[in-house]
Amino acid sequence: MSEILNDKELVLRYQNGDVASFEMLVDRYQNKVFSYIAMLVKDKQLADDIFQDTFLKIIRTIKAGAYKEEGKFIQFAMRIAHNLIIDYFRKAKRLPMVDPTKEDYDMLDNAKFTDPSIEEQMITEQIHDDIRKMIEYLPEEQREVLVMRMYDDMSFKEIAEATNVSINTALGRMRYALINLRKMAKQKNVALTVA
Amino acid sequence: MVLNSTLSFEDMVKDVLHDMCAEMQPSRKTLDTILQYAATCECA
Repeated sequence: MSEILNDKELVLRYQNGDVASFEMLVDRYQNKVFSYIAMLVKDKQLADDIFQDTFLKIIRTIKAGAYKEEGKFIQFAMRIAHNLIIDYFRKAKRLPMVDPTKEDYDMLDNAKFTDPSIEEQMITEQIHDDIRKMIEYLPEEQREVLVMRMYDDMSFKEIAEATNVSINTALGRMRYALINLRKMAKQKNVALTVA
Repeated sequence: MVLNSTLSFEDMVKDVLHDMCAEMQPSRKTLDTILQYAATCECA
């Protein structure tokens, strides 16, 4: 199969028994779906389990003829993953939220480089490392929108549909994610200036 | 710590996010389970 088929064609072919078409869909989206899950649950084994459940549900939906081509396949997959993550957190009864104003909120203690002779490359790497930590400390609902928007290139309309909220809520979460990241950077004196 | 960069803060967050997410892959075992299920599922 050398031609590049779109998602709709692959789904249709799989419905008609062509398993290779489904493999192509998995291959096309495995990183986006898995990274989205892993960024939220922050546990590799758990992310693997939810990823597997997501795709088993996708298979059952397609095979049952219940897949509706109303949006993109990735939206459909993300919506299933989102619902499974919510189910997991409900069962585990944990929805960790972070208050960046807390006194003990100190994940950037290692960001204490002040020596002006340090190579810019080293500073960049350090700041990137700090930003990683800040992203991990965001409340889940804000981290979710950040990943969907900035990594998965989803529109706010698509994000709203996948996460079952209004577009304004999705926009608000993105805005607060950036505000919180800036706040954390400021608190820890990670000053990011534009030349 | 100050970094002089032509990147905006938002661009930098995006870069970091791309680095973080690009590294994340499901296990081979999980992928095999999914593909095996896809091949044998009789749930129509």
